Amino acid sequence: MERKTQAVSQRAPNSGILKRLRNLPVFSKLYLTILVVVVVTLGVTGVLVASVTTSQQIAVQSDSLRDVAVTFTRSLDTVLAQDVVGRIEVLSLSRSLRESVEAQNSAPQSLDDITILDTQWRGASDSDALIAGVLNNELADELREFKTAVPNHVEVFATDAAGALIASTNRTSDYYQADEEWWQATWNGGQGAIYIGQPEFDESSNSLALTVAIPIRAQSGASAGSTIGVLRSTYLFTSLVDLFASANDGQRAALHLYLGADIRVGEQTGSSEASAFTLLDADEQAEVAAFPASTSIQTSYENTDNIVYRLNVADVSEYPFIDALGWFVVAHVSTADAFAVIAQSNLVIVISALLGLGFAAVLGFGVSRLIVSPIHQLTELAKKFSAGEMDTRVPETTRDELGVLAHSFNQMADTVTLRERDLNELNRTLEARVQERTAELRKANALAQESVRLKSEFLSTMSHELRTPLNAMLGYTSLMTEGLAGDFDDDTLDMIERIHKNGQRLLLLINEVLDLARIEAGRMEIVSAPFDLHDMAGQWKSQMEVLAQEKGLDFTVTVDDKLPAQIVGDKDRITQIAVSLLSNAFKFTEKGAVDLTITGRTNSWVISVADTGIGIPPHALNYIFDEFRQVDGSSKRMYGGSGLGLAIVRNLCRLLNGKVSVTSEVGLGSVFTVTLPLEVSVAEMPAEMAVE
Amino acid sequence: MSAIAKDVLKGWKVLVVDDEPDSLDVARRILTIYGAEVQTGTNGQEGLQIVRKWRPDFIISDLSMPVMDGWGFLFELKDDRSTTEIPVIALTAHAMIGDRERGIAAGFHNYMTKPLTVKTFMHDLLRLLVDIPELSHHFTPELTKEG
Repeated sequence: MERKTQAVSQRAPNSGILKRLRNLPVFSKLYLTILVVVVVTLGVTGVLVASVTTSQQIAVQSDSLRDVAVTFTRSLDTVLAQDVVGRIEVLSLSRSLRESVEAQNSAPQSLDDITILDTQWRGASDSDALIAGVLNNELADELREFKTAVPNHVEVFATDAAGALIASTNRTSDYYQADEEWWQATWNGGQGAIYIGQPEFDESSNSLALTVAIPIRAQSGASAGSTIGVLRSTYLFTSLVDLFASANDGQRAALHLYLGADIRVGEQTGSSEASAFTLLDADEQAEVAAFPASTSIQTSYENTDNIVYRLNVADVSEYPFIDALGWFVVAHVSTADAFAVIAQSNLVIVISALLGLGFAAVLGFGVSRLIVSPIHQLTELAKKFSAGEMDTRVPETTRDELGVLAHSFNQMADTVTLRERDLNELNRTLEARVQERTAELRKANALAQESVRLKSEFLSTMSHELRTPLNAMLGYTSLMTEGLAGDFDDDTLDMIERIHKNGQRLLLLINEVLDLARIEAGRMEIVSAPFDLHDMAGQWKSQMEVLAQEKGLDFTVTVDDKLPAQIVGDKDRITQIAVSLLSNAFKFTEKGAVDLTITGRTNSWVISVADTGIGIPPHALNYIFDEFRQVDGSSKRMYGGSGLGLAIVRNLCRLLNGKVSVTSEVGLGSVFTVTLPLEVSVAEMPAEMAVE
Repeated sequence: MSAIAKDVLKGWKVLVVDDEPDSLDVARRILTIYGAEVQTGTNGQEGLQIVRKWRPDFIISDLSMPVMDGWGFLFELKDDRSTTEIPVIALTAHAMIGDRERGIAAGFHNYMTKPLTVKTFMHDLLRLLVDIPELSHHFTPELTKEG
């Protein structure tokens, strides 16, 4: 139960917002929806793109760096193969070169001789015959021709199979070359192999000098293909600058070429001009050596955060002579530069998002207006229509749902207009009919009132006209019976008394008939007022006592003590009822008693009159209260009375909102019971009730 | 009741007005028997003429009469300063509910209904007369007590 309550209370504010949203105008709903959808879409797209770019930028950069590195390395490879090695190779195929080498090989010198000559070579001047012999022979001329034609090859010389010089373009430091590392690698135990040595920095040309050597091979005879000597050139690698320039052209990435152990080419990042060479210290060498090959890493490089890609030249090169050099290329781009692209693309995304948002705002506004304004128009027109402008119709301009709605509205308006017209017509007829009926009713009512007036006028006149002759009758006879009009003999007096009594009876009859007529004409007015119950009962007792004494009957009147002393009612009518019942009781009782008791019930009080008279047979109980009925005709003669008394009692009881009933047994007596509603005057109420 | 003294109205001057000769006669007889000096008229007009010549102590008048009815008679009496103080008692056969109230409201001193008998008439009359202060001088102390 508790938990449920919590849930409800948590839901309450939501439903409040929902309710507020529900009550927004349609335009706002539409517009908001469009904006929310666009904003959410753009937001999600932006976040996705941004996150993807960030995570993959390193890989993308890595590819880019690799391309740069590979392109450069291929160029380098080509230059080495064609310009550095290829030219010398072509030269090595020279017939005169081979013949000169073979000629020297055919007269081999001993090692000792060569050593002697070497010593001579070092110490001799240029004019020495040995030196002149090497520098000024035909082959030397050919070599110099070559050198002139290919200026990067600055020093070219050839040795025989023993390593002794045959011809040279320049005076070399030694005559004997076979003890040199490059010569042995090229000679390769007679197998022959192309050799390129680690470059050396040549300050005079501000470029790198490469030692390149190739075996000279026999071309014909049984020894064709075998190594007969070595041709060597010193190559000034000036084109490396151009290589960097073309490799770096339009690239954000910068390249460094690491040659041998300690030379780095490409000093200035991203600059095509510089092709400076740097001799690396131990720390720099260690740093670079730590880069894994063929993998992009993000690391500190040249003291800034970089994305770095290292490519071993050997991995790309087709030439085995390059493999041994251990050269590699480092392509790198500063993280700041790389991510500037992301920043840029993010900026583009943000700008396009904003543009999209603006576009959506404008378009959404337009679309919302487009949808809502016909609804507005419809609403306004509907208001006009309901305000009573029945000829209002909506223009049906479009064929969409709104158009259908407008059409339906117009149809409805037609129907309503038609119905209104019918209704008005009906109203008019109805009004006329109502007026007609009202007039009829008024007439009928006037007639009824006239009839009532006539009836009561008749009653009044009847009363007056019947009383007037009785006045004379009773007046004169009373004078005579009272002995105020002279003396009469007993017989005459008896007759006069009979006349008087009959006059009284006639008066009683007239009164009763008039009472009954008044009750039935609705002219009997009931006057409710407080009265004392005990006083009233006392009056009854003293008024009727005479009748009891005349017949020698016991007569008691008892009032329940629990009843309030004062009650509210029409005392005169109640008295009329009681007197009538008591008169009857005395009339029909010859011996015994007549007892009147007043008792209280919850909301009523009861007057019962019990006698020990002749009683009423069962069949008569049904009509005893009807007008002019007594038990039978003979009783009327015997007991007198109009037969109207009980009818009046019954009618009076009804008028007082009470009732009368009778129980009886022939020969034993009758009990008439009148029940009346109990009303208590305010003054008589218990204190607490009065306060309320 | 039976013991109303025969001279109870001795010294009273009473005017009775009624268009019914029998009713007039019965009333005149009873009043005369009990000692009153009685004059009669058969309508309001006659009543007025008598009042102007012979001033009664009180007047008993019928209501429905020709020429001038009881209401008109009362109006004329009340309108005249010299007669306005004379008590007028209505004696009429109009016994419907509301008739009595209308009469009292119009200015009748009291209202008695026909038919009358000697007993009821005298009894009611004496009861009414005792309550009229202007007439108190007519009553002996004993009578006042009995009333």
